Amino acid sequence: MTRAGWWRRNRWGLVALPVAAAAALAAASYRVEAQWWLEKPRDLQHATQGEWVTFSSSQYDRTGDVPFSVRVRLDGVRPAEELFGPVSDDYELDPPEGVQAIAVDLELAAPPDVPLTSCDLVVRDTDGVEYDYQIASPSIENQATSPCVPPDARGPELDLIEGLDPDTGPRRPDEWRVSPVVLLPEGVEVAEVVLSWGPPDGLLITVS
Amino acid sequence: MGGRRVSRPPVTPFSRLSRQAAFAVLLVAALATGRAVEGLMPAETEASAPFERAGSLGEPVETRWGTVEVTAVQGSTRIVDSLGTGRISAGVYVVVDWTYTAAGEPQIPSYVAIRDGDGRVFRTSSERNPYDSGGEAQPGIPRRLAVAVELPADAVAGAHLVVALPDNDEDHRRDDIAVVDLGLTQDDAGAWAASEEPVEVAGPADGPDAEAP
Amino acid sequence: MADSGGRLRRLAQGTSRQHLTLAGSAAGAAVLAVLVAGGFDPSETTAAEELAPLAAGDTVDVGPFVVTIDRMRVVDELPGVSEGDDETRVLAVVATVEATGTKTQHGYLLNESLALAGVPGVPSYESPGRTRDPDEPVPAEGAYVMADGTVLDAVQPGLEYEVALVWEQDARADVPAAARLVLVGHTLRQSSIDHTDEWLDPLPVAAGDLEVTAPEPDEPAESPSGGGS
Repeated sequence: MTRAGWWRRNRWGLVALPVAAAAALAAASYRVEAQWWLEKPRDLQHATQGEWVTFSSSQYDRTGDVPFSVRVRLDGVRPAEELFGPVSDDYELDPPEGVQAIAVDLELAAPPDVPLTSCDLVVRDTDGVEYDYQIASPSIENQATSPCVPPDARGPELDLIEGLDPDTGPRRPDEWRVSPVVLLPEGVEVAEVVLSWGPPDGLLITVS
Repeated sequence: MGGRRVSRPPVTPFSRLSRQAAFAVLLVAALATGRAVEGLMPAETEASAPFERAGSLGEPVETRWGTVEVTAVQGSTRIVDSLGTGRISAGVYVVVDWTYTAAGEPQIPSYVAIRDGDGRVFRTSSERNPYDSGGEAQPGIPRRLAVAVELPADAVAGAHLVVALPDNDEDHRRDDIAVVDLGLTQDDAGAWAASEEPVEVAGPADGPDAEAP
Repeated sequence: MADSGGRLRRLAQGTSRQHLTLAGSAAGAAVLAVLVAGGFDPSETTAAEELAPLAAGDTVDVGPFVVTIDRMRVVDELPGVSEGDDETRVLAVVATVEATGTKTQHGYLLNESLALAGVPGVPSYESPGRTRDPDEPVPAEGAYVMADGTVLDAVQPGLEYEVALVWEQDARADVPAAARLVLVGHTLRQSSIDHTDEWLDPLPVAAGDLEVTAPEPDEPAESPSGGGS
């Protein structure tokens, strides 16, 4: 039996082999989307500090997909002096030893009827280590539940629960400024800020 | 068909049948062998077993998801939690003070248990075996934690603290878990089983221990 | 594989008799493969066995726990359970329990292991959208450790707990002179969903009528001493 004979005899199997391998890989990776792609903001739009960018994405609620657009500008990152929108003014920013508190100064602009409350804020250091905006922790008594909207004029919520009016609070201004506070170990430098209204979309702003 | 060029002896129905039978028998034998090997070897449990990162009292244990360091172990028949609620055990309460430092991203171990020398596992619960994590810890900021677990006095000597990220122990498969020798002896068990002095179970706090040297 | 595929194709080009042999050997191989792979599970036998009689003082192995029934009584006050409520009273079975295995058991599994049957006013609430069979046993609503009055939410292996398992009874119903207590057993087996070993298949294992003692007015309350304070 010659070598060419073997190739010729099995030509259809050889044609099918890459197709079958691809199909097997696809079938075995059915959890990649749910457990990796949708786990964190992965599809990032890039921007730099000081520039206005328009970020468009989509959220979903009882009514279905809710596409939205918001304009965002990172003014800067600075040592924080006070908590961001705590429920009580008695709550003071008092980070423990070895911990620094930084305020992320953001300006945002969107029509007042756009629901923007359910947003996540993450800062990354130069090594890519992530630190979350936390509403409460042993070192933070309380901060506003959303880091992206004015705590006293949050604007509408997503329509998530039947019978609950999603828009009850005061009208949100067309353009506003927020300064959410994130705790980091001392000596860590913030390199990036990531904003997301639900993975996989996100806005990555480089701190300069 | 390249195969047609191969010269073969004339095929009778009988020989064709026996060839098929042999093929079927070989196929089944191969399947049976694979099944038997799989059954005899602990393939399923061993391949998915968690990676146990061992350490002892006062020694930082590095894991994929952060560092665990047990700083103190106390015991008594009584505890009092950070809210002032007391609990009494018919056995012994073992109270472990430890520190967790997250790696990479904010996270916190949800599973804390004490494992004795016989392999018995004593887990935390919300009421009688308190463990308040304080929520996800930012990376690099040590979180000081306390956990109290009640167990029979004969489980104290040689007990280990087991810490893992997911609450469900089925999810520890193929992940790191920290296993810390608490350095306990029969004498500790006896003293604690006789003690009625409540041990305080502290609430969670951030930052390095202020009392540490 | 491609080689044997070619051979099979050549075999399939033969006569109908060859088709038959091929189908026969394929079917035989499939049956053998199923047997080799462990076969089909025989259907579970769920026929209720004869219920063992139950009386105060009896010790029963219900699977995850060994339970010793001490007594049954009406409780005036128990921390966390309807204290001084006019609409309900609390029936309590005082028992000693110990977990049989090597792992912490959830408290709710203990609650499920003791049930009251046919007591008027138990349960004291109605489940919306569900009509109950009045003879259906009602599992305990909670278990409280007698030593300190805390909820027994985790039963640690190797420890004995003296507990009060409680049911709320509608106060409009009379205090029963006796109540039928059903002990429900569980079996440790591999779950067919995720192949983990779990206590499943609840089945009554023992049942009996227990005398219910009403609280005497001058009797010191059996409420547990405040723990730790």
